[in-house]
Amino acid sequence: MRKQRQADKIAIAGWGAVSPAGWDCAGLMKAALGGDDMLAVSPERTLSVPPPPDGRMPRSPRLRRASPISRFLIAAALDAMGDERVQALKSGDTRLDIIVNVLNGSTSYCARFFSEVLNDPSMASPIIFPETVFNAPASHLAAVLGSTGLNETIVGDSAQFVASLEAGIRRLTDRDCDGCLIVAAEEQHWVSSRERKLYDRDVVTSEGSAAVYLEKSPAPEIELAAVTDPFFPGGGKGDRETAIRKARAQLGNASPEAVLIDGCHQFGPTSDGEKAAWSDWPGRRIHLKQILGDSMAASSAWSVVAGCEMLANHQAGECVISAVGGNQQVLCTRIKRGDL
Amino acid sequence: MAFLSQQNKISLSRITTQEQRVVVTGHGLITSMGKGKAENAEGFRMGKTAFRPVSFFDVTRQRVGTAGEVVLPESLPRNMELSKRRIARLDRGSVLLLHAAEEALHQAGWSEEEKRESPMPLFLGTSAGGMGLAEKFFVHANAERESGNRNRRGQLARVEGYQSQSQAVNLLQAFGMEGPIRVTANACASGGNAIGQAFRHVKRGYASRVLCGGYDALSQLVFGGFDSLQALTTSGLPRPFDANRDGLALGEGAAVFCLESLGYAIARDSPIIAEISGYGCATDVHHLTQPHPEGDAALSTMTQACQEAEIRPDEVDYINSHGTGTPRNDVAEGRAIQRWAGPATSGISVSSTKAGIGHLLGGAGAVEASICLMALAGNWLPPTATTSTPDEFCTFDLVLEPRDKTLEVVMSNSFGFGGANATLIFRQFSKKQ
Repeated sequence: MRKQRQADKIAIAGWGAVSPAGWDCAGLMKAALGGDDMLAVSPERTLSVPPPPDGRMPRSPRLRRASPISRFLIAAALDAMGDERVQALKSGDTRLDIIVNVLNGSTSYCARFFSEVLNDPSMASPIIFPETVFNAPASHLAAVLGSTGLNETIVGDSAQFVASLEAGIRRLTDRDCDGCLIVAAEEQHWVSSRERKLYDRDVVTSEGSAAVYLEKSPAPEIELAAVTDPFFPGGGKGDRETAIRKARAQLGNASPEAVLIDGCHQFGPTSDGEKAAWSDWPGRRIHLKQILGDSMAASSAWSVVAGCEMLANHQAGECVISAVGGNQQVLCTRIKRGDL
Repeated sequence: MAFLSQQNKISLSRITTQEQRVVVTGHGLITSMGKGKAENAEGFRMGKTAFRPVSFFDVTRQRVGTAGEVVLPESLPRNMELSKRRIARLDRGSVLLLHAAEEALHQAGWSEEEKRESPMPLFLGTSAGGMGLAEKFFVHANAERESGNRNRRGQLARVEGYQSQSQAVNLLQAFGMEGPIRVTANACASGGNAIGQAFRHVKRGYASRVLCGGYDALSQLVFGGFDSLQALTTSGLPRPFDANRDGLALGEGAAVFCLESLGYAIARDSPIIAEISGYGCATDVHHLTQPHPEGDAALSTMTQACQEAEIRPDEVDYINSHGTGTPRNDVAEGRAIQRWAGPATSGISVSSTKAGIGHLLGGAGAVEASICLMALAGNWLPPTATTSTPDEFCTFDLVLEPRDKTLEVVMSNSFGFGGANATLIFRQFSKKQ
């Protein structure tokens, strides 16, 4: 294997998140680090994003009927981009690629529209149907940003966001774009919640989004330092543990002070392999899903954004994120402060 | 390691840093026209149509009752490495995908060793994945919820089966492969985008060979959706580019491709079907479901693809257009072709094979690319057989009757909901670049 040499590094230059803890990263981190016991106040074992604060969403005709997933996605993406980059994009100074990751997509509109079709197809809403399409949220995001470059919606398991980080790095390295916006989002609905609970009866299902903006930089504040290959998790606990151990081994040794942000639930068979694979982690670790619930595709994105926040606030120098998907892939990524 | 940043360098897993020429060594398809290249080539070359009443969900209350429904073969591909239980749980989209993959892999002739020597990247496009299974899950769950009687029999298999990534895993495992999976859901451009990304993956040295394609099966939700938009032609026969066109017909199908770097194909002495030389992608932000009337994004993708292929518009012999048969899409694409080709417009042959099999949504880009390869191999043009009165904007050579033509370069356009646009360029293979 040959390796390409380039002077620049990959910077995570911006990030954003929407979660049951609120419409910003501050809420996410307050819950993550402050130990907000959100799960305890959810007797139905579901967590939802609260209504957005006034003025949180941009004014756009595209958002009049947009689904919750579109709103979550756009809010996180705009935070990751920041006003200056949005203006640079609109003035044509930046070539942006967008990669949106989902597992379920707009379940609420899908369920509503399909119910209408079953009930009386002649009355099914032509306004709702387009919002059920997987790439509708990505389309709204591109419209809000005025971005006409690559806009790809990827359907994958809950580790897909981390796999897409590598795709974004490739596009930057191959000079396809100047910046790459990578977003993941999901919305809460009884159908998707019921689906998820078929795998883990006691899991708390959740919703939200997270986004990172990648660009090349010689001296990044937050550096995306490594992404492993995807490893197939197989079907059983042992298979999943083996896959995670392979990813962990490929990532190499992290510094003793590194923080592990994993995807383990408090209960449930899908976390057993991950718990076993990281059981000897010597340092600090954060279990975001035990605080914010499982938001499928958005969960691994929350983990990356939580790591960025910890690095930016000097609460860690390096973070390792364990992204364990259900039926497609297991990956790890490492992010670190650029000054270390 | 997929990516590693070290002191002043970025390391990405690559086989080579040199750009590779990319060739197609195998492709397979299944549509309502038939299973495999022979049946489809015969049908498209003659300008046949293949629409029939939808048989596996209720359309009695819809405005339209026909589509390009595939008559599924009685048996699945042989020698698949899937358990009986998994085979029994395959959804319709997966079955289509497996048939197309079997033909592609057979033609490429990858040995077991070649399939397993390193991970096999898989790039797939679909707009709905296993929507049929999702619908069954919903109906079952809704009944359970309303009745209060717990009955979850079969539900886990439905959830697992409808996820697109599960279908991709099935495909790899069925034919003894393993590798990274990327499922693009860019509506009607999904298949084109997936092939384009796979092409770039090989071209830029990330892999020697990849599997790619697109698929979609008919489903009640999507059928109801297009009917609610009144986008379906009530005649049952779409008439792309016709002055009296009144909508599209839905279809289903799949196409799969084996792409290799030229060096890899030559090293294993593989017959080469064609070269894939250009890809363009762009986003139309005009409207969620309507293209920009001037076809801005389509112009961009065709221009990008030509730049990458290092050809001029007048060197493109044939365009397999997106050509849905809806009033707005066709005129926007026509306008884009005129703007892109300029004075060369009249010399470029254009047709829409959706006239024969309908709009395959996420499978359209892949199936139409496969049709392009068959046309390229046989030097014929598939006609837009249902169209009789070309609209006045058709200043290009709209192919209405079966015709032979020597083809050197062909283009496939795919434009989708949400503004996802993709263009692919294939050419006759010549060792000389």
